[in-house]
Amino acid sequence: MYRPEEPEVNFDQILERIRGFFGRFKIGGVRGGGGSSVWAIIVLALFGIGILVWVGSGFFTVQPGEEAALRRLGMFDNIQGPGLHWWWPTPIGARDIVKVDDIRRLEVGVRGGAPALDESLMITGDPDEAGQPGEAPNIVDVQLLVQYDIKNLQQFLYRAVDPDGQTIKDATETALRQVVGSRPIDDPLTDKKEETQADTKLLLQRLLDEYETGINVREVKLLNVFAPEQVKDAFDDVVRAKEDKARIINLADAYRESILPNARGEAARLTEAAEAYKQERVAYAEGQSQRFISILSEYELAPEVTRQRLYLEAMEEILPDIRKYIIDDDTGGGLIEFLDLTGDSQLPTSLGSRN
Amino acid sequence: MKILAIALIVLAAVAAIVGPQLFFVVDEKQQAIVTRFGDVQQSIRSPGLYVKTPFIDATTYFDRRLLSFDAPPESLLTKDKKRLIIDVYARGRIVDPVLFRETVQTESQGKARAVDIITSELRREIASDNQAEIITTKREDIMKRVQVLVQPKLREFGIDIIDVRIKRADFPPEIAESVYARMQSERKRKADKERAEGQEIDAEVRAAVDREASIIKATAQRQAEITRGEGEGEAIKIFAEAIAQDPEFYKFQRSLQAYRKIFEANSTVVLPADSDLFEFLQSEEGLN
Repeated sequence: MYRPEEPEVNFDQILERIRGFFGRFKIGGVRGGGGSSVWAIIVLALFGIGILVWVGSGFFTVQPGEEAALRRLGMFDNIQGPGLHWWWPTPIGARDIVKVDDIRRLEVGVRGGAPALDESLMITGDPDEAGQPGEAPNIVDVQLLVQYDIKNLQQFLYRAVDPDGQTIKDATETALRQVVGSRPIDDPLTDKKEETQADTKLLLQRLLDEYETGINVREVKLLNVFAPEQVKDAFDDVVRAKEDKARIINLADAYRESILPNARGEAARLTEAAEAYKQERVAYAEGQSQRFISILSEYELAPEVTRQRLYLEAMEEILPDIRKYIIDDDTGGGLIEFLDLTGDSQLPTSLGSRN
Repeated sequence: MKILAIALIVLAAVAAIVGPQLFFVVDEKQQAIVTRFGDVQQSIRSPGLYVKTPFIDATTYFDRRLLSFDAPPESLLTKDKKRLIIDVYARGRIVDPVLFRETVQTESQGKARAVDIITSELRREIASDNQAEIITTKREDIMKRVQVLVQPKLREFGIDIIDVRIKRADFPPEIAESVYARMQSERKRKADKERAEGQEIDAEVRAAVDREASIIKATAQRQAEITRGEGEGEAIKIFAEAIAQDPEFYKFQRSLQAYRKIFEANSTVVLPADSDLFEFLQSEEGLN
């Protein structure tokens, strides 16, 4: 057997000391050849180191946001949160450390930023004229985002095959298509996105729970909902038509807003003018009456004379600018004499004027 | 010392050779059966450490988790003779590994068998419903029915199906084209309707506005006439009250006022010489 000369001595010395320490482990007080026990010590030491290393490899840390699922002899034992822990190393124990708080994403209808039409095109359940659902189905292009995390690590790891791969993808497509298929196309496309998302989330969570995936759906979001390429123009035209309608209604409102104030202004003008006329008439009447009454009161003091005077004053005022013919019946004159019987109608000229 | 070391080495060697033959671990995700020359000795459904006879017994593991049974998309005929491409999947687990091994041997064969059964049941169910119902209201129903039909059949293979789902129900391409054409015409109708409604509302609003404006003006007109009448009436009343004091004098006085206006410059008037006005024109004696 291999027996080195020099180190032998040193080994023996060391072994003696070790023997002193581990003296009580000596089996049967065997004092064989010093050299032959050297390898035995090495073997023992290797075993000891091996056990220490093995036990030491059972220490592990769990970072915040992570959980560790621990198995002993294949059987799930417990879950540990963040911190330093020890658990049986392989082959007795096993541990799975998973970032449970990480928000994971799944996109349906998009693959690497490019649209995936086989996933995104789906049938909607539009009713026909009679309101029978699904009789006039449409096709819509939907891209969906699911955000989820893990609510039950034990289920996530051990209860379903590929929970955050094929399982959630299948469940998401199923839920989305079922929800969209039960609604008319306008729901996901325009006015009921929220409801579509909420329904999909509900159904998806139900499926994931049924499949014991341990996944918690945080959010289901419709990323993009389009009309398919083939009918895009027709859909856009409906949007334009709605805008046209809104514009026409706005114009009609503008018309209302310009016409009615004008009419009210016109009405105010009419009533105000009438009021003014009324006031004017009353004022005129009052003025005239007052004038008459004033004159009358003076007149009553000397009726005859005043009457004469008023008459003459009036005549004086009127007659100067007027062409006058004074006919005296006593001198045999009559109106007839002034008439131009020759047909010359220029009576004033033929007779001459005082002015 | 030496004996201890030798014992350890021997133990380790024996453990390394016999250990894996004697002990086996069934994981949380697994189930196992132990067979001896093909005869089932043990069926193990829960995880842990188990013992078998070394070298003679063999262990076969099966998945204990929920498995996916994914059928390829298939074009199926509905009751109303329309075609739909249906992609279906099922979820289930191996509940009886012994039966499973006896009937289908491996997982892949088991899956293939399950898919066959599921699609044939699905085909029958799809053929008994109209397309519209499959798309909308009855989808859940159909899936439940297929699951109920499939479950006992797959139980015979040791598989328990807990759910069957129609993942996709799509139109074949040629039908999709006609659907697009219909969608286009529907949208056109809708656009036309929107525009017509806009015109309608426009006409209604303008008519209502015009009517309202006319009413406002007419009401004002009426009020204006009433007001004018009141003014005139009041004026007449005021005049009448004043005149009543001396109607004869009013007549005289008002006549004079009127003459002033009637006789404009350059009017011509013929006056009799014996008019009161000229009483003193010819003879002074006239005055008395």
